[in-house]
Amino acid sequence: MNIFATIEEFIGYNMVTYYTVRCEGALLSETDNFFERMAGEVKYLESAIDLRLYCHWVNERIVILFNGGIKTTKLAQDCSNVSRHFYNAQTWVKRLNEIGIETNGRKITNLNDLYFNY
Amino acid sequence: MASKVYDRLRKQVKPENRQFIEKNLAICKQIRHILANHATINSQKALAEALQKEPSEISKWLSGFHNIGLENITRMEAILGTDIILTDEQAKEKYSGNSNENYIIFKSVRLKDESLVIPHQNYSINKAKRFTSKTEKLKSHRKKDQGLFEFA
Repeated sequence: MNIFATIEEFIGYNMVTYYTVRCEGALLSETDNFFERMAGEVKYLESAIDLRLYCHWVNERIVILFNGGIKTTKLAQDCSNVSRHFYNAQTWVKRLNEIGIETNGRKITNLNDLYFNY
Repeated sequence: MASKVYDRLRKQVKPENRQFIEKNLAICKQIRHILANHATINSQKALAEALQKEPSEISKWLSGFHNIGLENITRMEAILGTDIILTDEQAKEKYSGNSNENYIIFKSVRLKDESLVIPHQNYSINKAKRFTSKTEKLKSHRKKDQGLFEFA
């Protein structure tokens, strides 16, 4: 079954715009979901070094934020908290690359209309 | 347009936490800047070697989320041979040569007995203070009859 997702702006600054991904029908975007979950996790403040928010650096003006969590193992793939988000991020980046978002220096300033399935 | 969730959570951040992160990131930025311009220690790896630490630890220090600590900062300052953080007073002292505030420019300084003349376009009051080691004498520098200094 294909799950469709869209890219939407998360927060924009003068130099960089951060985007995130929202799965079709989801109430929250992936990054909102991350922040909502992590806001309740008091211990992440003490182990910030293990906190992971997966992202894709498209170019110096565009970063796509995905989901994440607290990594409890050496490899993200082995961690029950983050492996799902890690693989999802990889899948999305792979899909983005397939449809040509990685542009070797060409500036992309608007990703709002982009959608893809994985 | 920003995420409403992000906006809401951002407003909940305690001021001290925000301040901590801002200061920490500023210190990390300063260290990176020093490394980028340093003659010999110009990478995180080189800094790790100089400090006899693992590169991963330095990477952790420079992440912006780690409390580096004053001892480690001063160790880095000693190894890099420059300041990483300065108080207002220290900054004024260090950079007073580039500021026009409290800075009097005169062409030469001559002691009353003319034993020493220092021709210097940018001789500063601070340097003069150090030179005489007697700051109270400086107060009379405009009075030629008491004449400690003469301004050309």
